[in-house]
Amino acid sequence: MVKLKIKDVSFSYGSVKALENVSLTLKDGEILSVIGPNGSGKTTLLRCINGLLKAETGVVMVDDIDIRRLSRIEIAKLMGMVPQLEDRRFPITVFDAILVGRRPYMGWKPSLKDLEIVSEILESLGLKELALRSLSELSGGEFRKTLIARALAQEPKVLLLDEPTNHLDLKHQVEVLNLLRKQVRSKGLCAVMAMHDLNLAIRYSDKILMLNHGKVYAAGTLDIITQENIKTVYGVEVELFRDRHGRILVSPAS
Amino acid sequence: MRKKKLENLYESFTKKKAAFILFLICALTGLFFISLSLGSARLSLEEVYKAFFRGLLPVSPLSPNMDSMAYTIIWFLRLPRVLMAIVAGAALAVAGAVLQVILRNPLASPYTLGVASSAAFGAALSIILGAGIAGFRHLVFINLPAIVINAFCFSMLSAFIIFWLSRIKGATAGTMVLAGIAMMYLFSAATSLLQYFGTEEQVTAVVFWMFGDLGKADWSNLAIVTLTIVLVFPVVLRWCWDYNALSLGDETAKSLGVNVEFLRLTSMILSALLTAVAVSFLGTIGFIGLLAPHITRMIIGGDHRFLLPTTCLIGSILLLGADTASRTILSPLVLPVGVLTSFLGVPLFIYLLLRGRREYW
Repeated sequence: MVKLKIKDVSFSYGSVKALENVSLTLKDGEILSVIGPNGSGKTTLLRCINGLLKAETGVVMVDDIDIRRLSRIEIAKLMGMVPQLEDRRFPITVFDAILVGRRPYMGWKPSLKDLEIVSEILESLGLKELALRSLSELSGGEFRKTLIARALAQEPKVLLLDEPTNHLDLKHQVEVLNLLRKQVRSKGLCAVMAMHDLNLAIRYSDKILMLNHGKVYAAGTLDIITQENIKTVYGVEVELFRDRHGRILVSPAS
Repeated sequence: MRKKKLENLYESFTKKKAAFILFLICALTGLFFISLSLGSARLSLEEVYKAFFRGLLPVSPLSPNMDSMAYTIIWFLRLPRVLMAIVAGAALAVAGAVLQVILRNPLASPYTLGVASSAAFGAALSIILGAGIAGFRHLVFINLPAIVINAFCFSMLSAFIIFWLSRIKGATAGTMVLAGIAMMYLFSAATSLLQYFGTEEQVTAVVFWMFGDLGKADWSNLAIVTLTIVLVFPVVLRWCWDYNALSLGDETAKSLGVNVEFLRLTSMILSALLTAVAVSFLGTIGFIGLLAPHITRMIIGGDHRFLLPTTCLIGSILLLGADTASRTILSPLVLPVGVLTSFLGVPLFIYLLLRGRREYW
């Protein structure tokens, strides 16, 4: 079933076109990576999907509902967004930070259900031991997971992630993405993530969208990862290898 | 089974915070009675509490037939002063806590937005040029209300300039802090200019005005400060989840449905209002608004549901404690409370900073 459908979305900052006629569709349990060089419109696309930026043309539909007809709170119940890491952290506990994800659902006092949902997410993401620790004490990987947990607490249908592996070491990159994939598959969500690391994008995505100057240069399954496409979009000569499982690896040639 | 445990853990964690608030209320009540019994006039404890409780009785509480000296001292000097310390401390602390979260800046205090310097300018204008807002003219020194009105109008003026600038440029934390600092310099320069032209007595009066002093408290200005905090506090407390969301970042808050610009602008105006009222009546009382929220965060953390009420109480306790000390240390001489707040608050702050093993803010 099609969960997220984006058709002909365009956006410009003043006179600078940032996105032009971007379209994509995602089904339950699918992960799509948006790749492209810096300034190609990855973050702008995520913000347009979320409605934080109003797309000038085109529609974004979640479960066949046009998000333009929804309030911000209603959108928050459908989509969870994990922005890029913010460096300043407030001394708020991990539990409270995740509980914030219940804001669209609750009044002043969180209900028992809210607390249960948060506890469950903490368990399944292996953050239980950190529940009452302050965000300011967490490592980068733990903080990242907390932010994802917060987005999951919104009980969304769509997850939007802006470079979820940025600033993380290899272990945490893999950990965060594994966890993400598990959640997406088991809960039947779909995820759109902006990625810089092509190899991780290939490893964890079902679909790839390649942006170049705000336009879709190529989109589809992993087949679009070719030497020519990468050369045109990134301006870098690469060689493609296959590991012993037959998975593609991208390596700069020079 | 284990899942249940985690929620219970969290609930007992929040209950602990509620208990701490209760403890602070008791501490504040205790301090209230201690403070009431201390002062330059040597009254015995018995006289103090007799006079206090006599005034509380419903039988014509403020009737002049009870004009014993103790009664006058308690009801017209000490009580307004003590209560003012409580409400002004709370007002400054809440303003500081709100500004720190909306500006995402641990250095933010109620004076970051230039409220104090613009209030001082308003006061100086009235003291030196004898000019009030809307053409009032009053003689120097004598007419306190004109000074107060002027101070208040100018501090709100600077808040509205920041509001307007942020509306144009986008209400980000950076824009607001920079606009606030610009206002601060502008009005300090304007005050210096006025002082340059003023006579020696006038300059002294301006400097004295700027010293925070709770001796200026009386029942009418106490009522105004109390009313302001009673109106503003429930509003900011209602927004506690929005503040929590904002402490995870602008983008996160927006994606959770928080109208970040609106929250920031209205919170800014409300905290400016709290600060302006306190500053206009009492002068600049430093550090409470910076320290109280930090002390609170160190002790109970950054959840605004508990942070906001607790910071109120901590602010009240700090200011009341400082004022009590300022009245007793060199009695009968009364030191400016603004100086004492720093002398008492800073060691406490540093102690907490060093003691906490956790990385803080």
